Amino acid sequence: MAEERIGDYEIISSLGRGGFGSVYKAKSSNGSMVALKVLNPQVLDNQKVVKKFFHEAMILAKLDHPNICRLIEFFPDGQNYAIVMEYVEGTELKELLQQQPNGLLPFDRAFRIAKQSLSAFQYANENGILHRDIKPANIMINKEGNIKIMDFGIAKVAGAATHDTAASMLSIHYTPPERFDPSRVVDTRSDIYALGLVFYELFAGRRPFDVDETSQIMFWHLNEIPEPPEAFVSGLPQDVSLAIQKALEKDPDDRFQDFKEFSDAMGSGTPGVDYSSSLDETTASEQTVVTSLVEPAAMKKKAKKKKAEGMPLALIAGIPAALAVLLIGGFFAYQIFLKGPAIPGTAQQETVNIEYKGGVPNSKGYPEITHEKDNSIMIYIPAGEFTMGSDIYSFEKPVQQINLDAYLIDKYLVTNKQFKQFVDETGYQTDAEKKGTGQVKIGKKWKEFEGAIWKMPDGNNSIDGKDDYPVSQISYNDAVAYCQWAGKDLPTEAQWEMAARGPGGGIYPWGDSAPDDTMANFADSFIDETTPVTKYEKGQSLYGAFDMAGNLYQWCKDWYSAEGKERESKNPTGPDSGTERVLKGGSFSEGSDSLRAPSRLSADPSSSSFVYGFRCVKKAE
Amino acid sequence: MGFVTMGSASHIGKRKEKNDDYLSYRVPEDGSMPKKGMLLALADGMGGRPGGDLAARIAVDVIMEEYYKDSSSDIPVSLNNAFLKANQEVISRGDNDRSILGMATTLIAVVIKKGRIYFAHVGDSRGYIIHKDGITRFTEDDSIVANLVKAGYITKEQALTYPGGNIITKAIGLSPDLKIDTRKQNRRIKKGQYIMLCCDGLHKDVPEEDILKAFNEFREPAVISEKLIEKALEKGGDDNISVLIARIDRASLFEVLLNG
Repeated sequence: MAEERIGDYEIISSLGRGGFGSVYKAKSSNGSMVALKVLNPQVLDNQKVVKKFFHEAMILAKLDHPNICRLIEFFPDGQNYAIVMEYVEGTELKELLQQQPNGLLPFDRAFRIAKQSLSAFQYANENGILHRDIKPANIMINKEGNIKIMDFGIAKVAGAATHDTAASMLSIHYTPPERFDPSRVVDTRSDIYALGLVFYELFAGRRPFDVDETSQIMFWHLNEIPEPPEAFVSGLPQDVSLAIQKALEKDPDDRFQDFKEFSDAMGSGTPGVDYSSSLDETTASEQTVVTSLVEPAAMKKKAKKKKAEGMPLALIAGIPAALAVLLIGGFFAYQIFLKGPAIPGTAQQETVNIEYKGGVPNSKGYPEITHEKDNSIMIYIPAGEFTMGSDIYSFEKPVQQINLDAYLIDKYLVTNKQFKQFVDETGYQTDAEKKGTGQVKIGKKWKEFEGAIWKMPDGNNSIDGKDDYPVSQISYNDAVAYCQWAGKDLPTEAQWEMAARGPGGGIYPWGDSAPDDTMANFADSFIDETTPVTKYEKGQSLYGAFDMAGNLYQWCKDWYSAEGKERESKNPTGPDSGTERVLKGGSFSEGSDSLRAPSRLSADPSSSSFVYGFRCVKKAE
Repeated sequence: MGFVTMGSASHIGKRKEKNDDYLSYRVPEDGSMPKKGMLLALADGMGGRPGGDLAARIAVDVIMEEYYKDSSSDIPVSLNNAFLKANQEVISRGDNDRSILGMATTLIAVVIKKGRIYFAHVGDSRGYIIHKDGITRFTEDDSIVANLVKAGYITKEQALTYPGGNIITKAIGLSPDLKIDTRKQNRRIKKGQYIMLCCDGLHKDVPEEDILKAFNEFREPAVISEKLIEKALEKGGDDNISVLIARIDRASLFEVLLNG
């Protein structure tokens, strides 16, 4: 150790080095012990990863469960990141199993570990958090015999690994088959599969496969049906064996749908014993006399392996989110201290009563009109004040009250159909058409791709039959040309942000709760392309605008500046000059952090991309 | 004419702020061959931060020194030992200086002795033999995508554009528990053939047939190296690009080696 302090913490000793970085035992300024993880920052220039982790950390810090190791703080340490966690004295399940003769714990003890794990995962799941890297090394048994689940959600940043020099800390032994198929959704059931594998080891004393090579293990996950755990341990309750088998089904639909179902199916262990409760000091001492040791030696002869049927082998696109990678890097000087009892929910909104001439109230109570030229629905946003910006990143600063005059904004992104009408009437040629290329993500890189224009935004597939999809491969210049034709305008960044977050200043269009795949088309939805503009009803803003988070980035009128300067407080229009224009809203390709209303991107006004689209505004009369 | 002609080139690429690649070699001098053969090594450091280039340099330097110092006469054993030492060194340097914590690198090393090729490899830098019949890769990438191909889940064609193609599953510096792919090639290397080591900056952008074309057209290792880099830059060239080429010039090399 070159230094003895990290942040406000005094380093006491090294606790080791894991796939996620180095871990230290440290003392906080109030004298309490913490575990401090310094993360391997392998992608300094990947801001998205940092943003994603930052968002995740905010939620993690609010989890409060006796079997979940608490996240106390997260802050930058030079070019690294430090995560401060509850200090748990104990033994990893991995190590504990290795210490046992034949790898088996006494059944009652194993069952208690299982029940507590299920309770912890159920709680986290109810709060919208997946673990994504469940393995015996992440389950700690403390000196009282209770478990603590470690590293909750940390692997989430794996999905954001978009850098070409990324390395994987893949926990391949616990990776569910669907994670190799990016077109499939990863949800609770993926965690259930991983926990099923942990339980297999816990109750059968061995893994269900006996191969070492990464490719062989992948093949096993994809194709092979495990032997029932009871085939290796005589006396193992059938409920437990069957539950583990069900958790390990190849098709997530065939598994338990949540951890409670899993827990119920495990049966009661020994009748009359409540295994889910935590042990106190008294019961901990009693635990040492637990005697119902499952006889491990009665290994039954391994039955012949069967092949699973019906697993799709072909796949083409998306990010294999299976990668339990931790890729953290960055340079933002922020620090968060987060403690709190509850996960913020979706903002509750009372229907408003606002009138606008010719307008018909939408489901949120805001008047909507139809703009004749392009047949678009526009929402009336009344004059008022809202909170703009955030303190999270310097380029989103400052947080400021902004006052705007009333305006109308498109309810939906401009669609292929509308853009076609414009092109048909004017003969307009987009920047991408003139250049012959637009940006498309190929593998992990965005590249200029020949033929990627608005009619074929990914360079391969035509928009035929996709009238109600948002038009993309649109440059700022193209968006302005459309607006001029339609008698409208591009929104200023302030107009866009107000329409996204409303006067309440929510983080996302729907409030403060984290997005999921029912609210927005973003990276975690694993769709990897645009979706119809009317699809995400649940994700509409407080004003009733759709896709203010996800689907496509949207051009704003403002020049971009990263300086974080104070804005005009009334109708701000951004810097007087610049080289790039602002884009807002995230896209199908971005993580949840980019979906935050204050989040912003910038691009050259002539650049076109599969993730750039737009919507329009006009003055309220 | 010497026994072997070397050529190498390295380019920062179009979108990188620094070059994290590093390469080195030890070849016969004055007609004498080191007892343990000639050694070529190339590393591609990970991450756009200070550690990447350092990890690559440490790994290659340790390999060049430790391979020849190792007491075993078994080449794969010596290569394996040298790789483990490189891994230890990269980890320990990172652990002692948090500004480079977690630095890591790919590493490929090839030994040629008595006409045989031995190699050790971690990550997705590659080794090729170029011969009159074509180009043969002798390393398998330690990457998610390569493993999915091996598992029969995707085809080689799908792998070319499969997302996550650059995510590697092994690297020097990530974990003390490292399994190294160390092997001997069955094929003998002959006069006029080439060995090429390269990082993914080349093989991701330049297909094997184009690589082969460059060898057939330009012949001289130094020229081929430069031309391959030009090609990679034409086709994308976002990443660092490095190439190390050895051409076997005289069969008598192997007489020396056989007596060696």
